[in-house]
Parts: sequence; C-alpha cells; structure tokens
Amino acid sequence: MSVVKNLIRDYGNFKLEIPHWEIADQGITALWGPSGSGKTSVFRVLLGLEPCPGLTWDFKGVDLARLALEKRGLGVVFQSYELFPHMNARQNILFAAEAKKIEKAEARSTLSRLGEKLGLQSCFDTKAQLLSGGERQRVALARALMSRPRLLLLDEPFSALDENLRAGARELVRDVLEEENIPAILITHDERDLEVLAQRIQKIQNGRLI
Amino acid sequence: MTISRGIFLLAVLTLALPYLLLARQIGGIGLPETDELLWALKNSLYQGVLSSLIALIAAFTLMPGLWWAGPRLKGVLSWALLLPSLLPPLFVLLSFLAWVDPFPVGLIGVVFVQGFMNAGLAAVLLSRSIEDKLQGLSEMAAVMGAPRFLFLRRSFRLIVWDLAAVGIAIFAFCFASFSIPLVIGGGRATNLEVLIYEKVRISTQMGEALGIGLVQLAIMALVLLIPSRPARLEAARAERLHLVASRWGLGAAAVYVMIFWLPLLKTLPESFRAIGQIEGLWSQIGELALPSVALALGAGLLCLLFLLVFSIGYPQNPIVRLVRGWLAPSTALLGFAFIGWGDASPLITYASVLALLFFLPVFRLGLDRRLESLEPQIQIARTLGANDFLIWHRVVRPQIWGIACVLAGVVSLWAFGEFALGRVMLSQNLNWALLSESLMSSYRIEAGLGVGFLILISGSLLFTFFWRLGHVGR
Repeated sequence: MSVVKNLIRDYGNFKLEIPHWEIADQGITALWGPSGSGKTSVFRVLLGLEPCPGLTWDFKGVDLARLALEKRGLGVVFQSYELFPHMNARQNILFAAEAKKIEKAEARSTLSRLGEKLGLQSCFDTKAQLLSGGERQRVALARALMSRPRLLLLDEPFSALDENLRAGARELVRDVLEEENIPAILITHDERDLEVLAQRIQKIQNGRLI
Repeated sequence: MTISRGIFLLAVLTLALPYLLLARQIGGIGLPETDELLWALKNSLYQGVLSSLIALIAAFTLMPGLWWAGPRLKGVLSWALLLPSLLPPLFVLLSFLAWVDPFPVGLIGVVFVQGFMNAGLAAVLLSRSIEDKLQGLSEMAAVMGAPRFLFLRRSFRLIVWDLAAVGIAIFAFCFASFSIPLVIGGGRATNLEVLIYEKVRISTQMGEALGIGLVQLAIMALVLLIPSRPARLEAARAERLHLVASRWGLGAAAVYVMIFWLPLLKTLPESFRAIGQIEGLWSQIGELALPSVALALGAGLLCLLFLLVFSIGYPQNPIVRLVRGWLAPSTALLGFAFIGWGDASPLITYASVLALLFFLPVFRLGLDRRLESLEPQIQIARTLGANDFLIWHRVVRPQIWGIACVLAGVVSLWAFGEFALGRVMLSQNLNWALLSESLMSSYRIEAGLGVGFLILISGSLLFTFFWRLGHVGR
C-alpha cells in the first residue's frame, strides 16, 4: 500500500480535501467520480504538476511528494495522450528510454516487446500527428511503460476513442498492465472502465473521497 | 547549479547589462525642466494613444477581408499586411515621403505614419484572437438569420479584452517610438525618446537623459500592468467567419497594401537615377555593402542564439516571466550605454546591441505563445524523467527552430534598416541604413529611397536565408 496524506488544495471556488488515502501497490485502482468532482486535480497534484504544500505520499518507504516531478518515477497517459508531434511512434516511445538513460539494447528489446503486445509495429515509423486515435493511445501507453514506472497514472485514457474501439482498448490495457506487473491509478467517469479494469474503486465527489 | 539556473542568470546579466553600463557611466540622475518634460510626455502620450486608435480603426476595415479570404490567400494577405510593421520604419517613411507631398511634419505626420504602419499588425493579431471566439457564435447567428449589425453589437463585449490587449501593445510601441518621431517629428513632436536622444547627443546632459528614460520606463510599466486576458490558443476551423467576413474588407486590404508599395515602386527608376547623380555615392554604397550584410547577419544570428538559449528550462525556468515583464531601456539610452565599446570593433558591438534591442519584442511577439503551447509536452517529458537539456534538445528545439529562424530573419531585416540606434552610437555611416537616413536628412529623398531599395532587396535575401535555415536545421 502507498499512503497519501494531506492532499488538500484550495482553488478558490473548489477545494480538494483528501486527508488520507491508501492506494494499492498492485493491480488497478480506479478513482471514479462525475465531471467536476476533482479527479483530474488529484491526478495533477499526485504527478507534481500542481503544488500541494503539506502533501506526503509514502510509496514503499519513499516520500514521492518530496521528489521533483522527474524523480517520482511515475508513468502517465493523459486524456489527450500528448505525443510529441514532430516525432514518429518509435521516437516517442524511445524518448522515455533516453530520459531514463536506459541502455540502447535494452530499450530496443523493450520496444520490440511492447510493440508486439500493443500491435504497434506497423506504425512505428508513422509521425505522431498521422496516427489514428487508437494508435495514439497505444503509443502513449507504450511510452509510459518504457520508462519502467513504479506506478502508472491513466487519466480517462479511453475517452478520446470511438465506442467500438474502447472495449478492445480496455482489455488490451488490462492485459498489458497485468503482464508488465505495474500498478496503476485509473481516473475515469465511465462505469464500463470500472467493470473491465478496476480491482479497487475509490469514489470521489466535491473534492472528497467517499 | 542546474542548466536552467545558469541560463536564467545569464539572461538576467544580459538584459541588465545596459542598466549596469549606464549606472557606471552616469554620475547622478536628473530631470529636465518641468515644462520641457511635460511637453515631451504629452507628445509621447498623444503619439501612443492616437496611433493605436488609428491602427485599431483601420484594423476593423482590414479584418473582414482576412476572414473572407480562403486559407491560402489568408496566409499571403496576412504577410502582406504585416510587412509595413515587419520592415524597418525606414520603408514606411520613404513610402509616405514619396506620395504625401508636402508631408505634414510634426505630430500629425508621426501619428499618421505610426497608425498606418501598425494597422496591418493590429488586423492580423486581432483577427486571430477574435476568430477563435466568434467562429461558433457567428455560424449560429447566421443560421438564426441575425443581421450583421445586431451580431456585432451583441458580440462586442466578448472581444473588448482582445481589443484592449492589441491596443496596449501598439500604444507601447508608439509611445516609445524613436526613429519615426526623430525623422518626421520635427521640433514640434519631440517625444520622450527623442528628448533622451537630444540630451545624450546634443546637450550631453546624461543624468537628465537617464532621468527621462526612467520616467518613460515607469509609465510603460504602469501601462503594461493593465491586465489583459490572453486569447485562447486553439486554432479555429479554417472557414469563413459568417456575418463579419466581407469582400469589401478584401478590397480595403488591397488598398492598404497598394498605399504602401505603389509609391515605392513608382519612384524606383527615379531613385536609382538619383544615386547616379550624386558623385561618389555608388562607390560609397559598394564600400558599405559588406558591413551592412555582416551587421544584419550578425544581429540575426545572435538573436537566434538568444531565442534558443533562453528557451531552455521552460516553463520551470522563470526566464519567460523575466522576459515577459522586462522593460528594456529606451533605444537612445541603450545606444548611449554602449558608446565607446565599439571603437575597436564597431561592427561586432553594433550587431550585439541591435540583437539586444530586438530580442525582447520578437520573443514576446513570436516565441512566447509557441513555448506556451508546448507546455503539456514538456510536462509529459518531465514525468518521464527527462532533464531540462534533453527536453530542450528533443522536444522544444525541434518545434521552435522554424519560428526562431523566421524571427531571427525579421531581426536581420530590422537590423538592415535600423538607423536610429546607429545615430546615437556611431559617428560614421557604418551601413546602408545610416547612409539612407543621412541622404534623407539632407533632403535627397530619391537617393535615400534608392539606398532603401538596396536594403529591401538584400534584407529580403537575408530573411530568405534564415527562413530556409528554419527548414533545414530542424
């Protein structure tokens, strides 16, 4: 279990108030709530994109909240995926290896493994701007996994996909995370995501866990 | 020390250098007599307010044309409208002097020229921010059958802040304008900037010059403190803006472009004949060719270096806030700060000061929003564990290289035609711009125009070089 304490932040017209939250360090934990409940704010604070004085996050004896964003060792897939548009799929994924200073041979072998699992080999050389929605999502996931994160954060990762692609994408993400054995927090408002992916569900409303 | 902290320190030192030099050179700060100061202040305010008003009013006649044009024509038209503000002020001056005869020297002339010069810029800036806001609304209003005037009246409140932001930017340009009031202001339109120049160059009252410079800076700081809401960054769909697009606007834009170019082109043969009639002028032009190109190229390359280096570490690096909020000293004071530095190598010194002068405006106009739009990518790169340099090298640089090169090209074009700074710093005609200004000051307008054409041709070639560099060096 990792323990988050004092996740309290006042936005003026909205307040996040999570004094204590235990997050499983295995499987997928879903943070589920309606629009405007504070899911994305929690996500941004945990990532370190927004300051939150007083926050502590004990992850296997390390207080992640005291580490700089780039040292937290978290993986992330944003709702809009945020691929680097000037790079192709392969370069996007390998950027994570370069950032983490992973050896080239090892990075190439991980790339090949992830490419096979996620069905990306055929689009490795395609510029990010030209990838389809489903391909973008899988490249973003592969990039996050390439960095060997201690925890993966997924912010509504299926919301930009067509309904007919979502079911397959959910199962793929579930299977890959299981195989890679990486714990994840899934931010979602979609109940189908919970049914297919979540081992644990934490509901959030008006900035509070309920 | 991290890379970004080092870069921040370097930026502070670079931007503060003129102030440090001024502090070393000037014993104390003084102010001129109150009447003289208030008179120049009044002229500066009139020039700033009236020029921005003219530019905004003219922009409203040009914008419907931009919205009427299809995507390709719109790109060409935007560049054509931007040219009077992108080209050195020398060209606008030459164009006006060629077709307005007798030219109304003084406040009216200054306001007229500055308003015209910035109208195209105002139209392009405003059309982009308004387009984002009104696209959906205009379509809905058109479907509902709302009359054009009703739509404009009802949507005006939505665009007030955009109007204010562009108006303030143009006010700031014109309030502290130097070259245009210097040449066509005469004795009747001396603004604060020209007064500083007179104190430095004519009466050598350096303390008073610095005092006026600080007054001007304080007013600029107050004006720039007026809050403006930033426009949304998403691009609107490339469709015509219903109800506000108009083919008449296209006509107005064509007239605007012709007002600028026709007089220049009409006098072209006469201008070159006039050069031949002045003995020794062609050989002087030949001698100054290499220094002119070297200066402009040097200023452009230095500016490119500043733009690239200062984008390292964005957005954690407070450098962007520094550059956004920094107020450079007046052109005349900047020139004065570096007087004496260029005795040994005037070209290098002058090119560096030109880069310092133009770096801030091009960063704010061209790079700031681009860097802002990269912020989500930078954040994701940081979550992946990338350090500042890797983010800059792999994510930021490839995506700003093209625009940074275009901006460096604009700076080289400006540097090619800049003469006001040179008048303060140098005692000789070091390049074609100074030669052209000397000819104009001695009422040899046609010959000045001819040299101006050489600047335009060479400056365009240099701009093309930077533009091509932006395509090959990614």
